[in-house]
Amino acid sequence: MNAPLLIGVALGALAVAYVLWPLLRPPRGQRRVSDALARPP
Amino acid sequence: MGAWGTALGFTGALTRRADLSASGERGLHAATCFAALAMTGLGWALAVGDLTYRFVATWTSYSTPLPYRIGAVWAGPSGALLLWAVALGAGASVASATLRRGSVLRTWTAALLALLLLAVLAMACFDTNPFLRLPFPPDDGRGLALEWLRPVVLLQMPLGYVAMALVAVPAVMTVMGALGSAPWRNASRRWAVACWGLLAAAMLLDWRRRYGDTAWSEDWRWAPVHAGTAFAWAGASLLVLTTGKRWRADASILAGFAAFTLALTGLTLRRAHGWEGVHDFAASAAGRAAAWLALAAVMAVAVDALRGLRGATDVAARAVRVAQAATLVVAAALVAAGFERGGDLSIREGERAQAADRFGAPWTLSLEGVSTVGRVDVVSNVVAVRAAVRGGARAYVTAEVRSRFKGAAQAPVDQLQLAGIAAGVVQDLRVDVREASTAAAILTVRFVPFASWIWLAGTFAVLAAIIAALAPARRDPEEPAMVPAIPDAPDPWDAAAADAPPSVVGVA
Repeated sequence: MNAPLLIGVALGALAVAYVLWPLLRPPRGQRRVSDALARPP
Repeated sequence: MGAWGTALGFTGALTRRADLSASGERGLHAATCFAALAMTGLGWALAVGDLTYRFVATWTSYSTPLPYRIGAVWAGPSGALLLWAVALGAGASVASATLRRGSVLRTWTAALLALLLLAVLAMACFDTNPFLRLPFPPDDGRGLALEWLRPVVLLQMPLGYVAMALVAVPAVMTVMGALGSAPWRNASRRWAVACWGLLAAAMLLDWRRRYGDTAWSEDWRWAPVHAGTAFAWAGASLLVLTTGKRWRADASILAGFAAFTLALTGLTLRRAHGWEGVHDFAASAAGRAAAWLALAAVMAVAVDALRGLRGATDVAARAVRVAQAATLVVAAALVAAGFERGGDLSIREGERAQAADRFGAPWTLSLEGVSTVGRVDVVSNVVAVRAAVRGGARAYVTAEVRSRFKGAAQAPVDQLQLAGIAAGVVQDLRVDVREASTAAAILTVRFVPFASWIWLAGTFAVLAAIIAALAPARRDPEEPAMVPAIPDAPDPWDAAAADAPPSVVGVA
C-alpha cells in the first residue's frame, strides 16, 4: 500500500470516530453503574 | 461526511435528538476539513506542475510564476467548486458552532447548510471533478490568460468566491429563523453584515481590476455585474434590511430565498468566467436605465437608513450607518466617474501635446519614451508619459501593452493592455495605449472625476461593516434573557468529573 492511501485511510478512520463520538457516549447526566449501586435504597 | 452531516442533521432536527444533531454537525466539520485537504492537494499539484492532471495542464504552464500557479486553483470551474465548498463548509461550521447549543435554529441551520455543502461536493465529485487524469501528460500546460497574471486578481477572485459562498449562511438562518419561533435576528444580522462587507470588498477589487484594464475603459463600472458579485451584494443588502427592520415572517422568508438565489446567480456567473454580454448590455438603453435604477435604489435605501442615525445607540448600529453613508459616497462617485473627459492624442517621443480636463485646466503631456521588456514568452511595450498643469509637473504614468508569443509565431496569441493611472483627489489622469511604435504612440487620455473616492469610501464601508459584524451583541427585545434552565449535569466521562467524589457521597 502506498503512503497517500494509508494517510487517507487513517484520516477517514479518525473522521468516522469523530462523528460517531456523540452517538456512542452515554447521554449527559447518566450516572455510572457503580454510583447507582452505591445509592442507598 | 457531507452526506452524514445532512442525514444526521435532518434526523436530529426532526426528532429533536441532540446527539444526532451533534453528530451531524461533526460531519459538517469533517466534510469541511476534507474539502480543505482536497483544495490543498490541488494547490500542491498546481505548485509542483503535475501535468498528469487535466486541471493542471489546462490552467498552468512552466512559465507561470508560483503565486499564479496557486491562484489557478480557482481559475477553472471545477477548482472554484472546491473553494466554494471550503468557504461554505467553514461558514456553516462556524455558524453552527456559535449559535446557542441545543436551539432549534442551530440544528436546522446546520442541517440545511450541510445539505448545501453536500450538493457542492457532489458537483465536484460527479460533475466537474478537478482531479481527472490525462491519459498521457503533455510537454507543457496551456497556461493562464494574461489578464489573470496581475496581483489584484490573486485577491479579487478568491475573495469574491468566499464572500458569495458565505451569503448562504445568513440566508438559511433568516429562512429557518422566520419559519420557527426561536430568536434569530441578532445572529442572522451579524452574518448578513459580515457578508455584505466581504462582498463590498470583493466589488471594490472587481472595479479595481477592470479600472486598470484598457479593454474595460468604457464600462469598468459594470465589473461587479460581470463578475457576479453585484447580484450577491444585492442579496446581502436585502438580508441586512430584513434583519434590521421587523418585517413579517413571510416577507423575511422570501427575502432569504431571494438572497440565496442572487448569491447562487453570482457564483454561477463567476464560475463561467463572467457574464460576457455585459458590454453590450452596458451600451444598450435598457442597460443604462437598469444602472440608473439600481444606483437610485441604493441611494434611496442608504438615505432612508441615514435618517435613523440619531436612534442608533450601540456600536454595531452606528457602524452600519457609517457603512451606509460610505455606500452613498461610492454610488455618487460612480455617477461622477461617468462624466469623464478625454480624447486621442498622437504623439512622438520628446513632443508635447495639450489636453483640457473637465474643469478646463490645460494639461501638457509629453512622451518620455517607449520601452520593450521581455520575460520568457511575454513581451511588454511600456509607454511613459509625463503630465504637467500650467507648467507644474503633476504626474508620470506608464501604460503597458503585454503580449504573449508562442513558439516562432509572429502574432501574439494573447494580449493585455494596462492603463497608466495617476490618481488624484478630484480626478484621475488615465492613459491607455492604442498603438505604439519605437518612438511614437497613439494614446487615449481621459480625466476621470472622483474615481479615488470609490476606493476611499468603499474601504470605509468595508471596515465599518466588519466592525458592525464583530461588535458586541445588543440584546434583542424579542429575545428572552439567557438563563440556563437546567444546570449542566457533570459529564461522567469527563476526567474531572470522574476524579470528583460522586454526589451521592455528600448525601450520605
